This record gives sequence, structure tokens and C-alpha cells, in this order.
Amino acid sequence: MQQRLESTGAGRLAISVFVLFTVFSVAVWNLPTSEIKTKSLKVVRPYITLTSLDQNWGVFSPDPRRISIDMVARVQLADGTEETLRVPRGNDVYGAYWDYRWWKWAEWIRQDSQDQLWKPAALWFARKAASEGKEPTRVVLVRRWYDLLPPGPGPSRGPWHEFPFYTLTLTGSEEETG
Amino acid sequence: MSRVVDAWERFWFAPVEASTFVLFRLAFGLVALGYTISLAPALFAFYSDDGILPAQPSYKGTLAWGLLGWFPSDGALLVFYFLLLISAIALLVGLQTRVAALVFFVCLISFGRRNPWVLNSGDLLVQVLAFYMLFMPAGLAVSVDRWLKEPRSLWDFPARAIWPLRLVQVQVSILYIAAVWAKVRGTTWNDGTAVSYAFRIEDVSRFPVPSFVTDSLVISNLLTFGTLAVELSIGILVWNRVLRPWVLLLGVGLHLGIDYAVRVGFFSYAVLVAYVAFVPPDVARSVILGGRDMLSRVSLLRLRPQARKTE
Repeated sequence: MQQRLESTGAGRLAISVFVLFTVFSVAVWNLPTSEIKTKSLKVVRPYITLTSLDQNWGVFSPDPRRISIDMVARVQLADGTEETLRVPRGNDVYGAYWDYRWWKWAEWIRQDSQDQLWKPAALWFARKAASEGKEPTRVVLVRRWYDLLPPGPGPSRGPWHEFPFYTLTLTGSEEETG
Repeated sequence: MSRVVDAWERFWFAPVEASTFVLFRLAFGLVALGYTISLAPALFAFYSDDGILPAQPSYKGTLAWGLLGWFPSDGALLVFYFLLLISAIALLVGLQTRVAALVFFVCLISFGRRNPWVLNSGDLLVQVLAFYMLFMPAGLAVSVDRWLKEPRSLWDFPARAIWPLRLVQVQVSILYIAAVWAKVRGTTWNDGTAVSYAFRIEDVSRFPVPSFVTDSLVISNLLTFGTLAVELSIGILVWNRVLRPWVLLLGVGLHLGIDYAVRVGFFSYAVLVAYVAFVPPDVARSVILGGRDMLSRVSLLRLRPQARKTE
């Protein structure tokens, strides 16, 4: 069918409209924030969303992070002990092709603007502990980080810092504190 | 006016041997299969209602769609995962290629929409390439489809209009120009320290980079400005026929380097798949036929001791 479309003038016109609008939409989507982008997005956003051509090529930009991050869940158990659960990490050879998604999530969840992710994360860690036969009573999500210092002489990084940012107490109906 | 129309016709509709389409399908099929397998370890953690995100986020008021939002059960999740896996394999071998491309695209987008908090730029690029794949006549040769229809012309590459490849080429150009634009607004890409920071972010680092590289300001400057130069070159000079192979070769080096040092998932490989859209049809044909000859030599070598035994 595509070949038939390409062989007629009307078909090529239809394809031309499609490629022109696609290229225009992708170009607009990638424009820097500006009035022209805001106005053009009203036209192209529905198409971009429908086709899932929404894209973001700002890898390590405008600057790479100047901190290394980590996130752990401190799970208190019914027997009074505490267990630390970590964000899953695979090996460097092939594990890197699945665990990067966990670390993308860790990048999001540590932000205060993403507090809708906190309770499901705490429950997930609690379920993980429960699946190993333990009885979790409280989950504390902790962000950890250290600063990367500028390259050159001297130390390359600062010490680890940590900050508990969310607590979920597991009773019949869970209680939470941010 | 007619010159503009002629130029437009030439750019978008010039017939080219389908070998580049086929090479694109083989490369994309491999990445699609690897991508699908990589979803397995965290399938339920990311996408089921017992996972880190109990329900698909609301996309009310937009045209965003996702089948996992409409069918949220674990059973449906498994069905969509197996559809994704089967369609990736079908794409790779060229079985019902058009249908496979459509099923892969629909399932892939559905997974992305179900949990957007686990996506990086590489995931987005795989999604974008899956969209362009929908329009590729990529099952015309070296495919089960062709073998079932005309086995004798399995290795023949009929000509088709180039426009689906052009869409990928334009996308590559936009990708790099947008990437450079985003970087030059920062501080560290201007003072030449960005790559040193990027290589030292422990949570995304992969294989070790020697400290003399990340600690040296001079080496860091060279790598940072070199990255910008390569990205800008690809964005613009890829349209120059003479310089194209050289800038793409630099891009291959850049992305393999990134893949070595940083946990970027499928980003580097998806970019390399997109580069295939620039491979001239005669080169693509040589690569495919060379691969076929190599495979047949390997299988002959394996068969020989067996043949001797039966003699």
C-alpha cells in the first residue's frame, strides 16, 4: 500500500504533508524555551503526544550533576532489628543495561517535587522485606549523597551526607510522615 | 518553483535499494530484543500495581495513550511483555515485519507510559526509532516474509522511496544540535570540566576511568570541548557527503566511550542504529552479504566434522 501511495502524485503529496509536519513538530519540540516554541507547541503537542515523539536530548546538560547520589530504605522489623535495603544494582557488564532504570527512578524520588512516589516506594521496600519472611513495622527512606569537587589537585569528592526524607509506619492503616 | 519541487522529490522520494532499510531493521531488531530482555528483571517492580508505581499516571486532557493503563492486571502485563518479546524477534527475522513493527511500537509506548520515571534518553530514542520503523519497507529482503513469498530473491534488494530513512537522518541531526544547545547553556561545558564530573558520578558510572583522566584539567578540557565539537559536527556536517563517514566515525567512538564509562542503558546502541540510516545502499548490501557469507562459512565449518563421520 505504501508503495502504491508513493507512486501517485496525490500519494506523494500526502506523504510530503506527513514528513513536513513530523519534521516541523520534532524541530519545535527541541527548540529552547521561547515564545515561538510556546505558540507552536499548541499546534504540535497533540501530534507529538499521540506518536510518542516527545524527546529530550539534554543528557548531562545544562551541566552534569555535581553530586553522586544513593537512596536506601531503613526497614525496622517487629523483632526490633533494622535492615537496610538498597536500590537494585547489576554488574557492570550486562547489569548496566537493566539497572540504569532503577537509578533514573532514584534520581527522581529524591526530589521533594516527586513526593507522590514516596509512599509506593516505601510500601515496595516493605513488601520486599516481607517476601523474605520478615515483619516490617516502619520504613524510612533516606537520601544519601556526596559532592563532586572540581577536577585538579586536591580531593575529588566530599564526604557522604544523608537525610531521612520519608517515614511510613506500618499499622493496619499506614501512617506517613514526610 | 519547479526546481524546488524537483529538489523536494529527490530528497524525499528518490528510489534507493532496500538494503539500508534491511540493515536498519536488523540493527533495530537486535536493540529491540536486548531492550525487551532488559525489562524482565524489574518487570513487576516497575509496572505492576504491587510495584513502585501502583497505577499509570494520569494523562487527562492529552492524547497520551498506554495499554497498561487500560489493562492494569498482572496477567495483562505478562501478555504485553510477551507480545513485546515476540514482536522484537519477529522484527529481527522479518516475520510479518509491518505487523511486528506496529505491535512492538504499541507495547513499547505502553510500557513507557505506564512508568515514565524509569526512562532515560536512550529509552526515548528507542521509542522514537520504533515510530520511524513503522514506515520502513524493511521486510523486503533477508526476511522470513521474503523467503515465504519468493525464496530465490531472499538476497535481492528492490528499490523503494527513501523518505523513511530521511526522517531518521533529520532526527539524528536535530538530536545533536539540540544536545549541543542544551549543553552550552551550562557552566561546566563552557569551562571544560563537564566530562570530569560526568565520569565521576558514582551512581551512573560503569567501567572505571583512570583518575589521571578525571583529575587532569587539560584532559578534562579536551574531552569536554571534543564532545561538543563532535556533536556539533555530526548535527551539521553529516549532510556533507564527503565528511559524513568521518563525522559518523567520530560519533561511533564518542558513543562507545560513553557506553564504556557511563550507565546510559541503550542510548549509545540506539544512536548507532540511527546512524545506519546514513549508510549508502551499496555499503549496506556489502555488509549484509558479507555477514551472510561469514555465517555460512561458520556453519560449514561446524558441519564438516559431522559430514566426515557419516562418510
